[in-house]
Amino acid sequence: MSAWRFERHPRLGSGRTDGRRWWVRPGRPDALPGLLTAAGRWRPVYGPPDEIDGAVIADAETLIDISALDAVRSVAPESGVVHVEAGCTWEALETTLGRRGLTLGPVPRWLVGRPIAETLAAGPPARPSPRYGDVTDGLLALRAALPGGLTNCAVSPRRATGPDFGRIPVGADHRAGLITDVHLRVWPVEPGRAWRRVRFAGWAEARAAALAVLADGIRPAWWCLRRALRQVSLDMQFDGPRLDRQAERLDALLAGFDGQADPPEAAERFADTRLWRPGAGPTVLSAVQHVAGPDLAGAVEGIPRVEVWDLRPEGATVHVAREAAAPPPDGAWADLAERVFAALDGAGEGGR
Amino acid sequence: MATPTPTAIRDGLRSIVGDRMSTTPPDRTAYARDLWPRTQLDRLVGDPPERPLAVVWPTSPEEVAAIVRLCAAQRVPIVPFGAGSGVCGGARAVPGGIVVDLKRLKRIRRIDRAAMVVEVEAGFVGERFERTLERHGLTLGHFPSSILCSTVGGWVAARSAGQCSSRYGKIEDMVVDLEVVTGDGRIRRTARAGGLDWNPIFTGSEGTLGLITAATLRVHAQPAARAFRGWRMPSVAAGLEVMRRTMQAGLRPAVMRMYDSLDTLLVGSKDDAKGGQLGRLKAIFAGTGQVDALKQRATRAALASPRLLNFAVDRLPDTALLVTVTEGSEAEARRTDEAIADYALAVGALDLGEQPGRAWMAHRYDVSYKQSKLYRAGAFVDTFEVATTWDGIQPLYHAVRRAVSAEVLVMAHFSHVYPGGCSIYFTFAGTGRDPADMRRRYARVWQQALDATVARGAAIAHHHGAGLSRRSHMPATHGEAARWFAALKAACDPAGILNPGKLFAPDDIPRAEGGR
Repeated sequence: MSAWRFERHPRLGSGRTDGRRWWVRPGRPDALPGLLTAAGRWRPVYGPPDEIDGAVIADAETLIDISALDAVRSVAPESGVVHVEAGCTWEALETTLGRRGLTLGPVPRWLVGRPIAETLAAGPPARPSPRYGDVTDGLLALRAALPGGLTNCAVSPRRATGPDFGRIPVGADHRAGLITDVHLRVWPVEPGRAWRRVRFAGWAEARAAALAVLADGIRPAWWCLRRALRQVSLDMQFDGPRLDRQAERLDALLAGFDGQADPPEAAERFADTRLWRPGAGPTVLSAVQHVAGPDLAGAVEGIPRVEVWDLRPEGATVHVAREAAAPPPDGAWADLAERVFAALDGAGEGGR
Repeated sequence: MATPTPTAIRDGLRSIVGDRMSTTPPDRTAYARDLWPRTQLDRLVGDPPERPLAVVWPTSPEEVAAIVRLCAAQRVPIVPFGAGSGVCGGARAVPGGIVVDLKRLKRIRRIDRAAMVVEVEAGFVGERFERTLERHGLTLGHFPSSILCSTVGGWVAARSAGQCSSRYGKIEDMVVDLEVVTGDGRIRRTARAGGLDWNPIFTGSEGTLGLITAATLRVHAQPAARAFRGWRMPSVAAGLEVMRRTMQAGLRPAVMRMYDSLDTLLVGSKDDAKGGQLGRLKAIFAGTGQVDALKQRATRAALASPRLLNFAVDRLPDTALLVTVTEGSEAEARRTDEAIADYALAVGALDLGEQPGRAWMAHRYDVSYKQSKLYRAGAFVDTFEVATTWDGIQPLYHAVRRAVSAEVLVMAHFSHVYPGGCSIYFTFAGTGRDPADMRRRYARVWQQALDATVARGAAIAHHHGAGLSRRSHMPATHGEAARWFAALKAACDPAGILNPGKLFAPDDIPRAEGGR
């Protein structure tokens, strides 16, 4: 039986308490600044308290459940923008968009079931899509609650004045405020898709081929480099206009490299294990990610299960299917960040 | 703490940079301002910008750091200065402060072809930088109109956009890593950062959080091919539709630039003219002959009736010139050009061939910087760029035009095209009874244009930054995010010496609670 009972808190309003902490579930973003002011050490959660991992909320005085803030507020197909509350899950959002013939682009399966606020606060989620960009590339505006009020970000195709304030809460673990709603770029669902898989003898060859694809202006909708037996496999998915010509050009380009083409269906099947499709379950890959430099072969040496995403000439996001040593953050910068959080009255004490 | 004397500050600076400093009136006057047009009016009214105590030219990040430590200890404001091409007052001197000119930090430290990145010091002038890259077969892909008189550090600090931003992105899309001297006098590299993502924080910070001393930037191979094209669009709306469809199809043209009716008329009437509309206006007022005097009088008389002028402009045929440049590999340049043609023909556009694109390319940097003659002759001009999403572009265009049409003649082009929207680049010209009247009118125009932009929920700038000219509307644009700025400022610039008063007015910055 649940130890949580409903009561009325003098400042937070109605909520549930287990005697040590409070759980409140606001229904509107504009209620949040007041809550943050009154909440003491707060922690955002997604769902009822009985279902939440105790370790996550151990030090919190107030649990602010933002799962009710999950409305898709507006969709502007012409601009390709969706305005959505941050308690919405990526899966729910993509499903809603799909009904309108729109998409966020490829959604990695481990984002499925997770709320937007949670994933953004944890850090910029990588997405292996040269065509659609990183998830944060599509973050046109972000609003957050601070104890004094809500921030405001004009919706613009690019940031324009001052620091990119909308990026401050990304990766800040809610210590720079609680993300309430975001504007994200969406795209028309393309009618056609094509897949390719090419295997290479090593990482250097695979990287060179992938970068040649980019240099030629071909932008795969999704791609992934990974070790497959003793070879390195480059899997790609394409969509967009003039698909036949893209594929034709791609095949001509890859013919210049010493690779071995597999049937496209192999790449399609693999993509299904990495990207969310309607009805698909959660991810099968438990991964940590870190950013590697241009020496890709060196970065992945000795790591048995590794996938390389977001490949660019200067580096890549490397996903390792085990605990791996990501480079430690620079202490001096971490200290500076602490000073920023401390300067945010209330948030420094609260969302951590 | 006792206020340091100017002599003590100068002595301290001299101990760091030796003779690479100046306290002479000409230097202090030259470094008192950037190219914010409002400064011209201030001067005419007899209210010139305050001159800095000194100008220093450090040659290394270590010297910059030492200068910052000295100034922090003595609470002396620092204004970082690149090439002074800013048009928002971001590099305007601060009373009692010094100017740190970073142009002697001008080395390319590293060109890494494998990683396709270049590490360059902040003072490198843009055009020279691009020419250097070209010798290596590379390009940054960043071509602001000010490329001849702007620096890499200035680009990053002001969140600049180049003419090919639709393909290569804005400067923030190119930044891999920054070297920054923060207000505590430490040299920091963002690539090794922790806690926050610092690149998007320092980019666009206009020297208020740190002095950018070097940047590592993504570069690209020089395009192997280019295709040029001009299209006569049946309407502005049709042109916007072509631009939107192109970008949302995932294509990446280097340039898509569409002129509104008046701008089309001017560009179309003299496509080899230098400097665009502003250049033409400035050229009229730069002349000294009798014919020039007549032209000047006629132009002033016309500008005195902006309502009438704009009424006439509103009755021009609703056609628009769209200029496109596509580039990359031969296949990509052709593929993109052909796809745009599909979209353009579908809305009934007329193919004008290569010439408009080539003409634009040939004169892309023809910006006239000779402001003073125009202003002394009794007219003023300025530009005002805003951005929003596709569904808001036309309403924003009409709202800004309506807001300022009683005060100035206004025209615009649409450029910097992205999947989500684009920017509108307004040019306005006006006059007044006397300099004081001109300044009042100029201020009203800015106020009205910014009000209209904020009311439409659009971004109050696209790539010129905020500086002083837009800071009045920063609170309305960012809301409680001003608190983030306050926290960043408290952490990165605890002495409050870094370009104070820029981006946000001091009264608009909430008090940070825990900053040390």
